[in-house]
Amino acid sequence: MYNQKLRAHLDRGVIGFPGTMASSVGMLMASPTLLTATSGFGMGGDSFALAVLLAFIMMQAQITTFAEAAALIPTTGSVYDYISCGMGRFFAIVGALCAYLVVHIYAATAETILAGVMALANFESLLPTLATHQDTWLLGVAMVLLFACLNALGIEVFSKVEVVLTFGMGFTLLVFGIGGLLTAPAVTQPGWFGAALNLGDVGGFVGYIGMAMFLFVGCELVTPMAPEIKRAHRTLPQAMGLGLLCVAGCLFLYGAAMSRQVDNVLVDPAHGLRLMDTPLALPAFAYQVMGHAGQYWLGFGLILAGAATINTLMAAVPRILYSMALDGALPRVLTWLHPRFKTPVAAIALAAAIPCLHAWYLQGNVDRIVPLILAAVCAWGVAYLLVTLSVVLLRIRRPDLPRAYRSSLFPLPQVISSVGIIIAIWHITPAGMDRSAILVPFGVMLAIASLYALGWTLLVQRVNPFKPVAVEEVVTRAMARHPQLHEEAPDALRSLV
Amino acid sequence: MRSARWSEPTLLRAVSADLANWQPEEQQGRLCLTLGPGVEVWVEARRQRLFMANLWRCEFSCAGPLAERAEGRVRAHQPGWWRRQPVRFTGRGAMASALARHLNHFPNLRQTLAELDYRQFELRMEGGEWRCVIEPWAASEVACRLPPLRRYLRLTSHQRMLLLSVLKMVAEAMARFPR
Repeated sequence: MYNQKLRAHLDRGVIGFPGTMASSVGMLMASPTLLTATSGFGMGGDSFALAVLLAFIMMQAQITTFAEAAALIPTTGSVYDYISCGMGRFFAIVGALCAYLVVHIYAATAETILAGVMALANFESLLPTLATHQDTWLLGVAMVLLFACLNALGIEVFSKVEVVLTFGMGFTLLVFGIGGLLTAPAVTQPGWFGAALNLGDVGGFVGYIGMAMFLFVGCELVTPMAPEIKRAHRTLPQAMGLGLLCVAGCLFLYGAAMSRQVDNVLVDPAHGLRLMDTPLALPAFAYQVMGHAGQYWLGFGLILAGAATINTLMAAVPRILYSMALDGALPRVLTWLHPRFKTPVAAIALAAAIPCLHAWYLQGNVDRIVPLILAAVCAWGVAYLLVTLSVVLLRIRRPDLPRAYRSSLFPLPQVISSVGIIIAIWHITPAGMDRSAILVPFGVMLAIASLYALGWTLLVQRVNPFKPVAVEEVVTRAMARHPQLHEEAPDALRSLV
Repeated sequence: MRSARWSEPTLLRAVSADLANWQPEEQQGRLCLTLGPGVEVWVEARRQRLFMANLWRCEFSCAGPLAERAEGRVRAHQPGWWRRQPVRFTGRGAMASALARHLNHFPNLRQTLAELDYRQFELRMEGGEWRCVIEPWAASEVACRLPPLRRYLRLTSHQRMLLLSVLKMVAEAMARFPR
């Protein structure tokens, strides 16, 4: 009976393969990704390219786990529901907070600061006041507030803005990627992607893998769509896999083009800072490809990229928080809707306040961006590990459950991805960076999330925090979306006079 | 706001459950329920395609004959960006303005519409017939790809009472519309 219901639930999806793939890739392209890729290829060259390849393999292994979980528990609760069923509500709340809120604290702050930095890098002459006072991050804060207000007006406004932003960003990146490869090389490098392959420093190389992972994380955000996807058990793994392949292809294209066109000169001998470690590498690349016009064009493209990402975050994160609050994992105040526009304004305000206050606390310090990104990778990594462990535990504890998609070669992909994530987190610090700048703030956030989860489950939900929830219970609740009303008498309608 | 008529059985089933105490009947992909003598309400599902999202929503309408041929459209203006104030009806052209003035004389109608959470209200006179269409916020379903979610907004009993009351009052007011 349950199997039939689950099959019918999976069969009612409407979103096809292209839509699923677009959604999985949509969260990946952003300013921090470009900066991370530029910095990585500048530092490591071919070594970083190899790290990207290994991170790609790890992520391919990881998505098989997510696909199995999504086919087994096709709910919009995604990470929260998978871990609830595998390991109990305590780990579910910790995992969901790591995957969404802690990541937002770090990655959204990096995006906010970078939006201003990118503007300064490309339009320094247009922003003399901000540049003089080192207040470029205020531009990012302004973007966050603008898009928060737009999203408070409703999702229709979000969608219209997003069309323009996404088209502008995608077209720009495509033109410059191809242009960089077609233009005659300005620099001769020993390797395809800059410096030649060097595996002598194992610790540094593993650090590159941690950076490279950031380029791919986020594609699993498509899994809450499982109930809406046509034949989700097939479409999801294929779309995520192909999406990751396209992103990897674009990154290799970008890395090769950048290393052919930009001379990675030393710009700050005191700190050993090279051009490709800074956002200034991007206008230099644009100038090589298309002159001053290219600089301005790419500058606008990067602002659009930042705006698109901030807009997406302002749309996605509040609604995820809203859903979690509806499910009882977060305080009910986050379910409050605007009386007129019916948007989750309390959650939108929280999602906007986090990067703004964090950027203000850091005073837009550019040196903190890479540690922020790596802290976000740690948060993502913890969530991935918890999901993987849950899927493995469910396979052992409940082999009887209907699995429309089964991760092949079990448990090899799970071992590969988990070992890779643990090693990457352990060696997350690239050469020359203070380890405590990444792990201490992340550890503090993880501790706060754990304390919250323990207090919430014990004091508010009053449940055993470590008792796994039955899969059937979660899926049946998700399927019963249209509760029946049992009212017999017609309403007493009001009269005209 | 562009949208297309859409036969969405899942949405109509959900709306039908919300209207269960009025015993709606399904006819040609629409729901029909009777509020009283000569007052029939039709419910149609419509889909609005957005970028990476779809909105499935319902239009509730009722219609009736006009004594003489008239053209015009009356809209509801709702002041207040934070809290909704009582509605004021407006119309363009002589006939529509006269009808708007007529409707503004019914405080119960203005108050009830103000309490209703709706996206769109339109009262159109065309070809010897009037037709009132209301699109409530509830009885709609949003399916987003980013953020990935699908949620049906139930038509609660209070909102249902308000919605049907407005349609019934409009029908009564139109019957009293001076020629």
